[in-house]
Amino acid sequence: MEEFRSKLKTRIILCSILTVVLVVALITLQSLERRGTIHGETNIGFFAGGIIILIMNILRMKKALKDEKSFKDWYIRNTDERAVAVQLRAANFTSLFTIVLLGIATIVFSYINNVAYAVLAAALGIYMFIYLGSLIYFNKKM
Amino acid sequence: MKNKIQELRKARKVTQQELADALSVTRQTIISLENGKYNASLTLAHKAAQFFGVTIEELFIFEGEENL
Repeated sequence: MEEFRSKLKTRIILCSILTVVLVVALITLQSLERRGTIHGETNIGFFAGGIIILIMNILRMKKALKDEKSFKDWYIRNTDERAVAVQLRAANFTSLFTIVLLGIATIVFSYINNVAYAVLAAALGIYMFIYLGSLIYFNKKM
Repeated sequence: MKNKIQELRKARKVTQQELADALSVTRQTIISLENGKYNASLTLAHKAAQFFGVTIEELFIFEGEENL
């Protein structure tokens, strides 16, 4: 559990850094937009949503560190083996399903639009590369 | 895999939440274990057996692989 406590502290630091990065990115993009340096509109909702969620997570994690009962609840929720197994299965199913869908879409668009076909084929290629790379990596690691 | 978790838990008058807290898992995991929908890892099986003061073999009934 002590190892989990230090992991939680690391997560708080990472979330804090990410929050700062998002805030800086939002401010930078907004000011560049106002000056006319970049065109288009910054998706404020995306940044605001991300910042709010990160801050809420940081507050929850800090509360968990201070209060033993909250910490134990957080620990159980994050390490419960059945929950982890469910997430792994869902992720595996989603990966395979996405590969199949991308494959079908690539084939369909090869008859309809060359640009869409090229984009989908590239996306499928990258996805397969990462998937197979992960399989090889975890096969060696475990 | 069948198990005697529910039987032993009720005999000791322990609630699912109390058992979950003792084994550091969620109540949902205890429910799934008792329904036979989820098979515990070796670590969890060992913790559960220790909690009830029985051996793993007494707690979990291995029926053998049907597909072998």
